[in-house]
Order: sequence, then C-alpha cells, then structure tokens
Amino acid sequence: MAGRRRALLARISGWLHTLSIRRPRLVIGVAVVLSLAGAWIYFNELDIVSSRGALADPSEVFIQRWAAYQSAFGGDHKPLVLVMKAVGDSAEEASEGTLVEPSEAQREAMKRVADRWAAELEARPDLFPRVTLRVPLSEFGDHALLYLPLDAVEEVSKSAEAYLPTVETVAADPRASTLVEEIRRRADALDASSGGERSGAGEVAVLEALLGWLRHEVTGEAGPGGTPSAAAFGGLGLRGIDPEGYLFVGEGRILTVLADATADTRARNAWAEVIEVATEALEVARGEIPDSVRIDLGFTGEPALQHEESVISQRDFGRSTALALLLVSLLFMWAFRTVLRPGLASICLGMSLAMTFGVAWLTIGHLNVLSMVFAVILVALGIDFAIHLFTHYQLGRESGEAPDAAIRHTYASVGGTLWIAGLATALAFLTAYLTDFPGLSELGLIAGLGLIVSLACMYFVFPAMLHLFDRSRGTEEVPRRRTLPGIAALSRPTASFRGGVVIAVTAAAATLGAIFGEYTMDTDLLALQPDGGEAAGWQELLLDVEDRTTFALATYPDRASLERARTALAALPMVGWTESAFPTDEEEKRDRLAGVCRALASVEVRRATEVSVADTRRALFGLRQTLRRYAATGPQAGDALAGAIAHTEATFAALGALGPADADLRLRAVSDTLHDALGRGLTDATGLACPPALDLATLPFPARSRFIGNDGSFALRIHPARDTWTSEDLEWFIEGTRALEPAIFGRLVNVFENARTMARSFVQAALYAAVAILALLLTWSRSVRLTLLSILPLVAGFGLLLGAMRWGPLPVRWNLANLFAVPILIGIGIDGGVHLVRAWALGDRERFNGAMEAVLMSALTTMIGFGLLSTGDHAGVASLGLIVFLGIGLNLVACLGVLPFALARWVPRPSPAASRAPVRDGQEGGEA
Amino acid sequence: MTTRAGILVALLLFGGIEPVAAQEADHFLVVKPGDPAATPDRAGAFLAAMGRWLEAKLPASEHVEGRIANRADQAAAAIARDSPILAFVPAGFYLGAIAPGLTPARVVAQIPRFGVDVERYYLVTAKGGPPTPAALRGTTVRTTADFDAAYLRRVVFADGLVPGEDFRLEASENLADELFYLLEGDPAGPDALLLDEELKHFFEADDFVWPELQVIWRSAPLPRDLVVAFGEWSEGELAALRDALVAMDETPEGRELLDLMDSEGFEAVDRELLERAATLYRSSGGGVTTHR
Repeated sequence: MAGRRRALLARISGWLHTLSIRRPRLVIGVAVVLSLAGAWIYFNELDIVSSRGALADPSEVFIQRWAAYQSAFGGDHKPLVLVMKAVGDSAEEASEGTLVEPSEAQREAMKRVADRWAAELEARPDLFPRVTLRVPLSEFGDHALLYLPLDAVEEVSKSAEAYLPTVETVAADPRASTLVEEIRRRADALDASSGGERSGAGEVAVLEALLGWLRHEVTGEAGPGGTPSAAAFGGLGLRGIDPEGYLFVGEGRILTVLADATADTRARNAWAEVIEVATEALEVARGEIPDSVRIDLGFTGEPALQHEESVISQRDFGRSTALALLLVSLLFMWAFRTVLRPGLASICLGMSLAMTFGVAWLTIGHLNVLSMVFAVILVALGIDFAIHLFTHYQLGRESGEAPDAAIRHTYASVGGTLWIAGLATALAFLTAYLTDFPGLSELGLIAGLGLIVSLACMYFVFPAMLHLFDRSRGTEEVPRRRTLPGIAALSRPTASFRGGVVIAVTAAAATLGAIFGEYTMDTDLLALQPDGGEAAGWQELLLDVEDRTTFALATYPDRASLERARTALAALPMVGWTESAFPTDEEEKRDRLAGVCRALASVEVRRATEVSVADTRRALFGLRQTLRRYAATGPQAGDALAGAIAHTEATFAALGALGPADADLRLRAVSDTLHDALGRGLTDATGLACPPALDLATLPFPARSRFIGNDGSFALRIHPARDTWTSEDLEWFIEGTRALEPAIFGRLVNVFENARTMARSFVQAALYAAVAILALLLTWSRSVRLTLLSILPLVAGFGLLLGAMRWGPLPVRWNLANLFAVPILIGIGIDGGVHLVRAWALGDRERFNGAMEAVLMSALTTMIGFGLLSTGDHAGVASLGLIVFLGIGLNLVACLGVLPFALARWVPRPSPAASRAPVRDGQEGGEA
Repeated sequence: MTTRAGILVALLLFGGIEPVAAQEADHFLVVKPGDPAATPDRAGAFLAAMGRWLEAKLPASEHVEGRIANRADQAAAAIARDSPILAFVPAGFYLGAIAPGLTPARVVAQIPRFGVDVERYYLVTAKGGPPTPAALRGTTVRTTADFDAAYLRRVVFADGLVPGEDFRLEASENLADELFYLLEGDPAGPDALLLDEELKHFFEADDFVWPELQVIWRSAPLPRDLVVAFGEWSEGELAALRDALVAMDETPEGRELLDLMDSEGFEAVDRELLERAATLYRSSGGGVTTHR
C-alpha cells in the first residue's frame, strides 16, 4: 500500500518536473494569464486601506470607546495644523526652528493668511468639515477669563492692577493730554533693555496701539479706529493670547489654524487629496503676505505627518528597488556570466507579484499599510529561489548537459530543498496570521502565500523560460566558470581545531548577544519620520512650545464625576493640564480676580471740563523724547518703538497744523470718545473680572460644542506633562493615568496599545514560526541533528544581530518600523542553512560549492536591496533596511563561515558516488 | 546707541536720585550726577559685565562688583566711606570731589564717547531767538538737574560769560519740556538750553527738533570722563590696568562693554587738558547759581 502511494507520488512528481520541459509554452501561458488577472484585480478590485485605524483590532475596548466618542462628539477627523512663525532679520533668527517675536506687520500677515486659508478650506467641507481659525474670548462672554490658565489669570490680575492708576487718572479727566501724560509716565517706567522684548503683546504694543488710536482720532487718517479699550486689551498682559482669538501659541510667537480633515481610506495615500487641497489653498493664502514681511509657514498634525511619511517612504522604496534591481542584475550577470537570464527571473518575479495581488484579494480582500510591504519581501526572497535554481542549472549546463537535462538535474539536486526552504520561509510569515495585531496578521498571510506563489512561479515558469530560451540557442557549449572568490576555500571544511575554535567563538558571541543584546523598543513615531521632514520639523517646533493636539480622553455622565476625576488627574505628575467644558481651578481664578473686580467697580468715569491743545502738544513732545531715549538703547528697542514714535510725531504735527479752533474741536471729540469708551470698557472689564456663576445652562458655546456630546456625556481631555512621542514618557503617562482612570482612550492610547500589541505579535509570530519551522525540518530531514544544523545560521545570526544592535558601532533600538525585520530575517535566515545542510548531505562537493555560491548570492542580493533602503530619508524605513542588512550579513557569516565547520564536525559526508545516481523523469536521484 | 548711552542720556534729560548701596567686596563706582537711569536696576547689566571684566584683569581682586550713583554728594560720601578701588567719573566731579580730597587717587585713563575725544558744552536757542551769547544777558538758561555749578562757572564758562551774572542758570527735572517751551516761545520757558556733548548729540540726531535750534556758543575743549584709581596701586599695576583698558576693544567682551558706553575705547589721559581744567578750577570763580 505504502509502496503504491510512493509510486503514485513519484509519478506525480515526475510529471510536474517534466512539465516545464514538455509544455513550457503552456506553463508560461498559464502564468501570464494568472498574472494578468492579478494585475487587473490590483487595478480594479483590490482595496488599499491606508487608514492606520484599520491595523488595529476593532474589538479592543479602547477602540470601541474611541468609536463611541466619535459618534457622540463628531466624526473620525484628524487635525491638519497650519503653523506660521515670524522670520527674523539676522541669520540666526532666520534659521529654521528659531522662534522670534513677530512684529505687528508679521502678526497681521499671519492672521490674513490664516483667514484666507480657512476660507479656502471651508469651500471643501467634504475634506475639511471644521476649520478652527480662532476662538475669540468674546464668545465666552463674561466667563472668558475663567477659561484662561490660572497663571494667565494671575497675569491679567496683576496687569489690571498695574494699569488701574492709569485707568483711574484718565477716567477722572478723560482728555488727550491726560492720556498722553499717562502713556509718557508708563514709557518712562520702561526698562531700558525691555523695549524689544515687550513688543507684540507687551507694554510697548499697548502704548503703540493707544497712540495709533489717538493719531487716528486727531488726524482723521485711516487707522485702527475702534476704541482705546480695544487697543489697550493687550495691556492686560496676556502674552500670546490674541484679542481677536487667533490661535497663537508659544507666547504669541506661533500662529496655528486647526482644520479637521477627512481621510480617504480607500485611496493609496489616505491624505493625499487633503494635503493637495490644503497646499493649493495655502498658495492662494500666501498672496496675503506683503513683500516686505517675512514669515515661515507649513503643515503638521497627523494628516501631514502621515502624508509626508507615506510619500518619502514610497520614494525610498522606489529608489531602493530600482537601484537594487540594477545592482542585483549586475551581480547576477557577473556571477553567472550571463546577461539575459536574470531578466527571465525578474519577469517571473513580476508575475508572482501580480498573482499575489490576486491571492490577497481572494483571501482578505484588501491590502493595508503594513501588508503592502509584502512586495518588498517578495522581491527580496523571490529572487533567491531563482538564484538557487539557476546555480544548479548552470552547473549542469557547464558540465555539458542540454537545457532539458540540466533542468531535470536541477530539480533532482535542489528541487526538494527549495520547496522545504521556501515553505519554511513562508511558514515564518504565515504564522504571523495567528497573532493579535490585524495589521501584522494580514501581512503574514499575504507575504506567506505570496512566497509560495513566487516559489511555484520560479519552480515552474523560470525553468520553462530557460528551456525555451536556451533550446533556441542550440547546443552551444557553456564555458565552465570559476567558483566565486573564497567559496572554494570555505566549501572544504574539516573537523579541525581551527573549525572548533570558530564554532566556539561564534557560539559564545551569539550567546552573549542573545543574553545581553538589544531587546528594548522605541515607540517614538516622530523619530521614525523622515529626516528633515517638513511636517515633522513643525511638529517638533510645536512640541517645544505647546502641543494642544496631544491628549488622552475620558467621558463622564455628569459634571460631578467629571470634576472628581479631573481633580484627581490634575494632581498626577504625568498630567500636564486638563480641559473640559468647565474651566479648571474656577474658585482660585475667581479669588485672583476678586480684587480687580472690586477696584474696577469703584472707578467712576467723569466728563472732561476743558481741553488744551498746548498741553496736549507739550505732552506729545515730551513723550516723543522719552520714546526716542529708549529707542536709542538698541536696534531691537528702536524697531519696537518706531510705530509709537511715528504716531506721536504725526499727532503732534497734526495738532500744530490745525487751526486752534479745529484742534480744539478734535480734542473735544477725543475727550468724548475717551469718556464713552472708558465707560463701556469699564463695564466690559468689570464683567470679565466679576464673572457670573457658571453651570450647564450658561456654558459658553465653544466649550459646549467641544466638550458636551450629543448623548449628554462630558468629555475630559487629559494633556500629558511630557513629550509622549517618546516611548518611556508615553508609557509613564498612559499607565499613570490609567491607575486613576482606567477608561481613558484616544489617539495616544491607540498608539500605546497598538505598539504594545505589535511588539507582542512580533514575538508571538517569531515563536510560532520557530515551532512550525522546526516541525517542518524535522519531518523533512527525520534528523534532530540536521534540523539543528539547518537552523544554526539563523540562531547564531540572530544572537550576533542582537549584540551588534546594542554594542555595535551604530547602536539601533527596535522600533515600530524595524520590527518587520524579524519575520524577514527568520524567513531568509532559514533558507541558507537548509540548502547547505542538504547539499552537504548529498556528498557532492560541486553541489555543495554551488549551494555555497547560491547562498552567498542570495544573501548579497538581499543585502543590496536592504542596504540601499538603509540610506533612505525615512528614518523608520532606513532603520528597517539597516537591521535586515546587518542581520543577513551576520547570518551569511554564520552560514558560510561556521556551518561548514559544524557540518564537517558532526555530519559525516556520504561518498560522492552515492549521490550521483542517474536522473530519470519523475525521480529525484540526488535527493532520494 | 546702546543701553548704556540711553542711561547716560537719561541722566542729562531727567533729574533723579538713587542712593548708593553699601557692600563689602572690592568694587568700582560709576558716577552719573542727575541721570535717573543711573541706578543699580537699570545699569545692572553694564555693572555686572564691567565687574567680570575687571575681575579678569585685576589679579589682586577675586570678586569685583559695580555700584552706581546719580547724585554727586552721595557719590562723594560713598568714595570717602566705602573705599572703591576704581571710579568712572565726570571731570568736574573729579576736580571738585576727588582731587582735593584725602583719599589718594590717580587718574588712569579717559573715556572718549560718541567719536569725540573732548567734552564740550553748548548753548542752544530757538531759531529766531537770541543769536549770540551776548544776547542772553538777563535771560534764563536751563540745564539738567544736579549740575556742577562750580565746574561750570570756573571751567566751562571760564572765558567770559558768567552764569548767574550774565544769565540765570536753572536746573530742570525735565529738559524735554524745556525744549518744547523754548521752541514754542512760551513766556515761562527758557531762552536757551545748556547742553553737554552727549545731550547735544542726542538732540542733534533729532530731525524733528534740531533744524529748529541754533548753537550760539560752545565751550573750549574740556576733559572727558575719567577712570580714577583709589588706594595703594603700584606703578606696574596702574600701567597694567591702563594697558588693559586701552586694549579693551581687542576682545569681543570688551567691545560689548564699550558699546554699552557708546565708546570706541579708553585712551590715555590728555594730561594737558586736565591740567588746564584743574588750574582753572583752582582759581576762584564768581557768579551765583540758582536752582528751580
């Protein structure tokens, strides 16, 4: 019975082995049809899911919480952030990353750009459902100050107290001369060195604004208009808080605009259209920048970061692939002294790629951003199958065999091994299907199946092509080529003392590497961004000053539970600050404002009885000299005070040029306006300083819309105290916050959990792969010794790699990108060992030579590909390239430098005669 | 112009008084009579930088602090009481408060400023106002607070005009207002202003004001501010200090300090000019000075 089955298997095997020779056109034709079908599926049916959310398991609690929040508070939008900053005049100030205090002209230009950009985006609500351009404090009504940070409220309180004497003086006698004298008194008190520093939202700006208003009133020129209280708003000392509510951060040095963007999850690059439209809008908005004003601007936020990452990593992959193809082809040509045959292998590779798209569509239905990586894996490993086949085919041809005989001999020599090694490699990927992380799981399945497809393609289609190609060239003799340098020496190992030393040293180094090597993981996604990436650069800049887009979330059914949680969370060291519909530290803020509230309430605005042109002019003249004195203290102060001096001079000159009656009339009008404006301003200021009670019914609209869900739930944003892009601080924040509030969720939690799941999944995948490969090899070889020797290069290479990563000249940590090296290294690492052990067991020195050459060539081709990748701009992709390059290199060292000695020591070589059985159709003479 | 220049201008524009803080360490004293900005708060950066520079140059002093005084009487008392090792003083203060005193003092260097290596005083009037010094007879001239009446009378106006006799010389806390009154022809305002080199430099740079003014008199060249060393200094130490001061512009730190003083560099004392001023100062002078 067993004999009949064996005979049947042998017949099937023989029929398959001769298929490429007997029906080469049919084989190629079927492959072409299948690959065309795969290509058609790729272009028409296969979904590319570029959303990173698709990588995570939707059944996870934190994902479900996130989904529930999005349903209650709005869709799954990510903020695209437009960032603008002033560019200084000096070379140092003009350099990237340097923050300078913007001039008034620069602030205005930034605001106009923001307005225009927002208006352009609002025309595309499908892509940008909400654009947050500014949140004016006025929308918060009399509760506005309660929504400022406590230190800002303190600053307001102090500034208000500092300005009270001025307010009281002008209120008691609201005349232009009184106002100018007060401005002069304040200017006198300016620190000689602070003129420049205080420009912008500081005292100089207030003085300038007031003088600008006065100039406008006296001269009738076009100017700011409004009221002096509006001009004096900055005098409240709110550095960085814009009176119009524009989203300045970093003490007013950076202006941001937040545009909630909708990803096209079916597009190859989910954010491409968003970024394209936003960029076009920005180009239009740039027109708002006067020629004389220099500002720097760009995008950041998740859409920009992901888009930049996608574009640059694709460029890196594309460039590396093209270069790798060229170099690999050159290597192939040099090693095998043939030009066209590598091209046949590449065609087969392309076919297998196309077919794998079809397999992906049949099995999963889509590709995600991780599983798309399968193409690189397939190129790296698929070519190896061709190399092994072609090495043996060439050996046959060199020894005078016709193409069909050489193919038969190749199947006999290496066919089984190729399948075993290929299946082991495929298993390494397929076992990833069993892991918890959907992104990796899908990659494992598609890459594993793709490898089998690729192997089948190389096994049947490549020989069919070789057969047709070489048969057409007649029986020309193939010259015997020299063995590759070094291979001949390495392929004659003996069980010598030297070999023992090599084995012992390698074992010791690999063991030490495995024990003390690199196991830590860096989850910093920002560090994976492209070097010099614009979006990453802007993100770094925002992180340096203030990042309002990074937070964890929690929701509560009522205000009481929200406040309890917030109080407890705010006390945690890992929590920077919290945001909700209700202001933080409300009672403390009310206490801080109480004094100002009382003082403002007691100020009475009187009506001026008379005006004096002469007094006003004298006050202006004196003020001008005071301002000149401080302007002379340095160029920065000079710039800061230039506007104030210009206003003073213009007002002084206008009063001198007007006739006495007209001048008197203008000043009376100024007095009236001052009186009315002060009255209104005091009413407004008193309202702000004495905020009424705040409850759900009186919540300001901006707070309600952002923090109260349509299900009535209360959202709490928990901002980290440290930079959570680093893995340590992210873990500190998430774990520390969870200890108090286990139900946190949001992007930060997603990143943290997904990184953990990914890392765990890779370890799982590695373990499953090891078990599956061991089982396969044991079944195949029926020898524990041969199995162990087959995996020796893989194990030794990995140990050495872990050591090199930690202690080598270029230390590398594991990260979310280079973890993909693990299945790749397992897949490739097992290949060489299997081939060499099998070739050794055949006892044929030439075949062993050939196997050594094939292993060397396979490794070199892979190293070329990934080595080129390591020079890419994308830090994550580059680190992946580096680790695979290193890993394959060390695996190669173990394969060629150690395994032969181990084989010589522990596996007696059979006599060559036993392995040179005649090859017939349907029989694997060499591998019997 | 730099921070230091602003302080000095402020000294002359506005009167003001700040007491001198008493400390124990080696220190130097900057004397700027009448400068409201000559206070430890406003001049802190300059004093600290100069202190660090002197520490590096004076091996005998481990730590050097700077002090500043904007009233002549308090500065003189501080010199007698606190024994500074150095002082940066106007020539008038040197001649009136240091040279005749009991504290041994030697002049080490002088401080040319604004590109002019001599001090001068100027009488300015509004265009259309008194065109010559002689026309000022019986009028009111105003100048900065805490002016040195003896120095003005004996040295600055040594060649004819006698403040107090030929014209009333009054101090003003706010010279900018006086300038306005002068230009407006206000009856309560002055007929002329007496400016030193620094104030004249400040107003001269004002296109808005200067074209409306005329200089009707300028003094003969006078010594500039001086660096004076007190106590026991060997000749070698004094020479080393002088050399270091003169070479101050050769290092970036030194140039920053000089920028703060609006000076291109210290230089050796013009002994002839100083001796002539001293001779004039020692001679008796007449006139009566009134303060507003």
